[in-house]
Amino acid sequence: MPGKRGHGILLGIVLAANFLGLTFQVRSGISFPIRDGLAAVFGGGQSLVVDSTRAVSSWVETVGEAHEMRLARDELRDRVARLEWELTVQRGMLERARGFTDLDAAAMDLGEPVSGEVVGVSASPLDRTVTVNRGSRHGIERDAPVMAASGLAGRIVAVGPGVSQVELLSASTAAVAVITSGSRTRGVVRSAAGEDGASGYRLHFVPVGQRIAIGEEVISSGLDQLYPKGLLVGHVSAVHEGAGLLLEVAVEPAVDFDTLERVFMLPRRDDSGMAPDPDAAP
Amino acid sequence: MSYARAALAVIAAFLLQTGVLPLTVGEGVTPDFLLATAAAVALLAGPGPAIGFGLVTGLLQDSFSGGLLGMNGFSKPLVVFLAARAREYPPLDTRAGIPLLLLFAAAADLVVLWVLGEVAGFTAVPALELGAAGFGIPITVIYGLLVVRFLRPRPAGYQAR
Repeated sequence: MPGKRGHGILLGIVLAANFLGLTFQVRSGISFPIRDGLAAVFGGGQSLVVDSTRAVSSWVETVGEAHEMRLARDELRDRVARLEWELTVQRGMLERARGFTDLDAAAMDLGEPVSGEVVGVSASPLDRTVTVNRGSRHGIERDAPVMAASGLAGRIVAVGPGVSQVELLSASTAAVAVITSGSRTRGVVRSAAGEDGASGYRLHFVPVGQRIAIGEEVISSGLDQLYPKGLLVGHVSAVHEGAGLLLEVAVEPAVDFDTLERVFMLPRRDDSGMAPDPDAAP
Repeated sequence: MSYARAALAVIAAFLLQTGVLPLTVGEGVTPDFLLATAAAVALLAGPGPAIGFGLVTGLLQDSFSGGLLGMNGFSKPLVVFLAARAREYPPLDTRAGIPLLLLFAAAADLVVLWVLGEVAGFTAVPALELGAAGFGIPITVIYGLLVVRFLRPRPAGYQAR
């Protein structure tokens, strides 16, 4: 058995290896592929536990809380109705946007989405990813955009055969290129959670003098070659002049990430930023 | 301490953290069950196993989160090793030392992650997430105590009824 000195050396090696790994990832921008394998191994277990927990919870409610179930059912009906209304609004917005140019229309051909259910959250309490019960077997690919019914939710960062891991837009590492619907202001939306007392998103790189109205829709611009153009990201909630030459623009997320249950995974963008053509030869 | 039980505890903590937690615990409180399990193993088995279990749970957390691989792989072995080492000295080698060292591990983990993000320049941990994890520390400690009870060997002559 190693002594105190041996343990110290072992710890030093472990810490140094992790530190070098972190430095490599930050400098090269390359992440290790271990996530895909682990998602495949543990994703099934996550799904099983969540399904079991939900089943037990549902049974308890059925037996002892019929009244609350009725209330919950009414609330769900109301929520579905609201989601349908929101979808209608989104479709209307897309139709309007399609009218701009043929290029815009091609860029907004979202392809056939795959719907999935959230079956787990991040293993780290400091992080914002979720696991969904759809994987490579269902045609999911890494970097595929993920939507909730109310707007853009994030992208796929790891894929197993039956499950995938989604990096939510509320994560500190996530970003999306956007354009506002009214003033056509371009920028990049990132989570504001790291800033003092802030929540929601921040719209970055907006020069002073740009006129942005409160309540303007913020939609994906497609310029990041990752998310298709025209997906609702949020609404402008506040605009302040910053210390420098840029405005501080707060954006209220379109998606409530704390109650996210069902998501839609879109086909991954190809290099041109367009959705893949389903009729194209393989 | 049985290592098979310890491995079982890690898997249970992982499934609890990623599957059951979001359905049961209120918004804004995020305990760290994997850290609690690694710390419990460390306090019972000593510094050597502490490094191994800390590394495994840390990398597991990194793999199932959107951040950089190695953030928790760095912090977990370090804090559980320190807790295990401190456990060798009085007065922390008593029964009362266990909750104190679990508390230390939970708080020190957040500090190390903050330092890695803000000082070393890796992914910054959002203040809101740190706050939520801070509120979860008491639950982390209680869960750690339960894991210690699960892993602790039965006294000689003990017979289950």
